Amino acid sequence: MNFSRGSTAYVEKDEFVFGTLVRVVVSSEKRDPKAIADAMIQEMKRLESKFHPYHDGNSVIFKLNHATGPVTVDEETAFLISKSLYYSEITAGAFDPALGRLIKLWGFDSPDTKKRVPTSEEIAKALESSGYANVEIHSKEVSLKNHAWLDLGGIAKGYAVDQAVRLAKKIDENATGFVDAGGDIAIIGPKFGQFPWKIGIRDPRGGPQDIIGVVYLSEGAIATSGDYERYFEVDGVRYHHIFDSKTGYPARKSISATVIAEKLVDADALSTAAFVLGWSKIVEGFVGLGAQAMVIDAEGKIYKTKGFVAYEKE
Amino acid sequence: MVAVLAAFGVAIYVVERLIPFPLPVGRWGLSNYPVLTIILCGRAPDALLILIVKSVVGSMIIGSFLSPQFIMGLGGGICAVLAMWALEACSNKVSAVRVSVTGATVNNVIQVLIASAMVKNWAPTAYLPVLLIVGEISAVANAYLAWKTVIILKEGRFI
Amino acid sequence: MKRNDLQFFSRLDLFFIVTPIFIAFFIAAIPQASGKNGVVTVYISGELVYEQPLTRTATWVVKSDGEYLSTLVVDGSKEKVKLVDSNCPLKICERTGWVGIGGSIVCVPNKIVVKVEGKTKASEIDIVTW
Repeated sequence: MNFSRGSTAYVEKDEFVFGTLVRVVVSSEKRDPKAIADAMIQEMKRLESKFHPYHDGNSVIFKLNHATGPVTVDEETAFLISKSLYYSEITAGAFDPALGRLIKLWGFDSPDTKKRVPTSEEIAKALESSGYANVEIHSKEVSLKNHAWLDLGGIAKGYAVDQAVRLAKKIDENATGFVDAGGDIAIIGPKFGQFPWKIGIRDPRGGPQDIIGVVYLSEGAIATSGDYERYFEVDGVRYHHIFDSKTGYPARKSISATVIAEKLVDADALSTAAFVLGWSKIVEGFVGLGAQAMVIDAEGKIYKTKGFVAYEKE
Repeated sequence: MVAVLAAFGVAIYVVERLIPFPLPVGRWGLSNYPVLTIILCGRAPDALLILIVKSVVGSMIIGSFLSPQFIMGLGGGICAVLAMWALEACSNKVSAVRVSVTGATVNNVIQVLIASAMVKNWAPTAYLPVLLIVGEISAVANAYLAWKTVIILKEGRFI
Repeated sequence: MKRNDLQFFSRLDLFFIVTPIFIAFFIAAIPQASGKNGVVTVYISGELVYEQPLTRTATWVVKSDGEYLSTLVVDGSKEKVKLVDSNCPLKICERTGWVGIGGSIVCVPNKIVVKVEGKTKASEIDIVTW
């Protein structure tokens, strides 16, 4: 007898990418799992600097936001912008990639920026320069109207993780493990090649280790948006980082929204939308896109799509 | 005969991976049957040869050559052969079950120790209880097969 | 063949069969005795800078290049840790609160990761979505 069935050796590598701690856990029988983890992190860092909206450097988005006319972008950027606009349309603007001005106004553009509650005039002014309707894309030519700023934060992280998972599969198609990007998770392959990963959904009003539900995933991705991730408090009111594009204030309909989808890019965008919308017909319609959702409303009531329940069994 | 048994060992080594196992790691150990057979024939040095051939060739086929699992398997296997050799050499009346069970136990203990040394903690020992008990089951099965084989070989005057 | 006395099984073999089972049960009993122990580790930018047992009550100042970042508090009796007085703007790490075995505290601006490593039950969850 020996330990040759699926290797026990899961390599874990942590790195700060996309403003969060990204944890890569990977195992491979054919290749050095450490090398796979390194390659994956490198890929995510490349995409981080490419899509960072507020800092210069190699950022395509920064250039776009500071251009005066239409900009021709590469295929990858065009794909991601198109995907964002698609999700904006089907969620009636609940997911919106053009809230850069608003996000910067509130101070959520960087962990170092001072956070404050802007005046309603400031918010109204930022809203004039916000919203996906200001983004136009014709094949690879992108133009931003009304000085709007793109912030692909809600989708670029998911895309980058998906690409990293794809890279791992390219190196060894039988690699297993997962990527946990600050609670947004994409599965590389089942645990030890045969068991689903047991994933806890955090209790939005509990401690960091309290969970409100469990799902089992052998493949695919899961993302959660919550009002407890990034926030500040003024006079006992919590102001978090997910904004309602209609009001310009943090969305209040729910406190947590979780979405399971095939790719993290989809789970990411849809969990943000579900969080903003609250439990609604649109969220129930995610099923038609191959996604399942769970939403916890402001009173703590839990809603799930029918297919979501199927993931709760091992 | 050594060549035939070694080839058999390689075949079992590769096919064995497909049999479901109660733990996420490990295998049943049925590929040790040829090794046991040759020891019961009183040819322990040849057992080492068979062991090395089946581990190296088998792992090359499944693509785990020189992987941690391979090193653990070979290390455990060599110690097991030495233990079985000693047991067999020290008494002139020996039973198949005794040799097989001793080999399986030594194999498992050594593999877990190698694993613990590699990851620098004692976590792998958590697998040892199940491995030992599963090891005994396949050890008895191996013993029966090897015992029968030796009888047949003797009747046919192959040895 | 050196000898003709090869048997399949003898009574003495029972001893050889029972011994590994005893070892198995003995080992299976050990983890419960030492399973509660955990180790608190602190990483800055991926580098291990501090380590101590979870059962020892202590406070430790987290510094990087002489600059004060935050303070680690370990409560040995509760077997939990937390970060306090962080110099980061959003204080997410402080709000994380007390964390026990299997948990972690992350301070993104200062690139600090505090982990409470230790044996967790096999039935426990692998990952948390949040």
